[in-house]
Amino acid sequence: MQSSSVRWVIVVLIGALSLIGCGTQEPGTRAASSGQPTATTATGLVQGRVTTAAGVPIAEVPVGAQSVGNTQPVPALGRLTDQEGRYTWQLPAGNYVLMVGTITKTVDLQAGQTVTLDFVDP
Amino acid sequence: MLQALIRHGIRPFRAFGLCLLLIATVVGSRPARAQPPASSASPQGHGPEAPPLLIFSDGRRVRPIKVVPHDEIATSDGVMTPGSAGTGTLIHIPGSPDQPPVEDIAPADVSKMDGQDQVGITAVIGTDSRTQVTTTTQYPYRAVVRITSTIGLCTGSMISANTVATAGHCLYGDYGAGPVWATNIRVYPGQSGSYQPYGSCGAKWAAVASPWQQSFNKDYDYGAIKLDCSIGSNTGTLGLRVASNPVGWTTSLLGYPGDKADQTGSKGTTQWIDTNTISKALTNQLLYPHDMISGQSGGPVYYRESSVCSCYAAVAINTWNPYGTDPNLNRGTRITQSVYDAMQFWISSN
Repeated sequence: MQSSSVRWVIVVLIGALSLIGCGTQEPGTRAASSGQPTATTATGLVQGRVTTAAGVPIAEVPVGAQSVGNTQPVPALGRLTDQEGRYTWQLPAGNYVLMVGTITKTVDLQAGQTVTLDFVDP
Repeated sequence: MLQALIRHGIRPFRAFGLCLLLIATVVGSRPARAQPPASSASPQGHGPEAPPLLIFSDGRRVRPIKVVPHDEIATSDGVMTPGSAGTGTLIHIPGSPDQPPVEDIAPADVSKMDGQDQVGITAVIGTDSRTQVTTTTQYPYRAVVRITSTIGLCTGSMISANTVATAGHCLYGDYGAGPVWATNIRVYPGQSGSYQPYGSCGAKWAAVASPWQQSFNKDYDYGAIKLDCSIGSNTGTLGLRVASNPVGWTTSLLGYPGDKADQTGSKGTTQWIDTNTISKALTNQLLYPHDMISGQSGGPVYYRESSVCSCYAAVAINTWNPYGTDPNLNRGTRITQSVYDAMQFWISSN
């Protein structure tokens, strides 16, 4: 009886350790296989064009974003416009100021919403 | 344990087998690990945590081994590399073909920019105290690079002849088309307006830490670019400093802010600096009131070391505008032992 219970304890112990061992995986490997980050924050999309007053697209212009009241984290990079002067920026839902140089525009971005903000850079 | 099993009536051969199985299971449950960092001290910010899996844009996923740089210096509270001034040799002389004449390299007219009302631009804390660096061919300014890519405008630091340290979100991110690597990366050391004193280099690969690539974990927002040139021999490099408590240290933040224009009107092409003290140290981030604007991601938050060397070393990589419980402080990824080790591994990687 005593040896039987020891055997059971050993079997359960080995099983538990095996499960732990099988579960030990390099961080995020599973998600990596799909290549998809697991961030689930509700976001919206700001897009637009940067042109001259004559409507000529301006390429390689940095478009910045700041969270009004600093309620949302925003990276300190500038999105660069493409050859047609277009930019896109996916951001968490919230209020933002978007900037091209010293020109600023505000937007109240809702989750799932796409907002177009064009800039005329003289 | 073997004797205990035999005492409980299990045959010696079976007991031995069970022990082996148990040992194998326990050992097998541990992932292979790199050699732990040499530092045994573990104050906040530079404990013995090993770097995470490192993800390369060319598809490699590598558990880094410990790389000790030849010029590593032990400090009273951690380790550092001193960087170097490089040769300073210019690739382009002002006025040479494709480069602006000397008179065009003068600072842009900033009188209308400095001190202007920055309503809504909250990463400028109070009055804008950034000043333009006009001597970008001097060290350490020449070791700071402007970065452009399909992700956007960023800043970085030369940390070896062909390695640039920057923010992870400058290299991998989701800005509307799903998570992607930056492509068409170009790096311009010491650029000042249209003058590119050290030309530009492309990238062989970029790399970030696994927690950034997997879940955009801001504690792991750092990365590196391997260049297709060795311009760092000319520009010099910034050192990296693991510090147990840099709060109160006087540091400078360098970068290429998108709101500043040169004389031709091009934005984000001039280098700017702000100097202030570190306000707060989290385990993986430093918080500070240095003024900065979009485009300065990846820029170094660095200080002048004078006790163990006369050198410049970064204590953080600038990353995020203010958010959360500290809405008046910008943020950077702290150079922890783990970040330091990852950077050394990237420097040694090809």
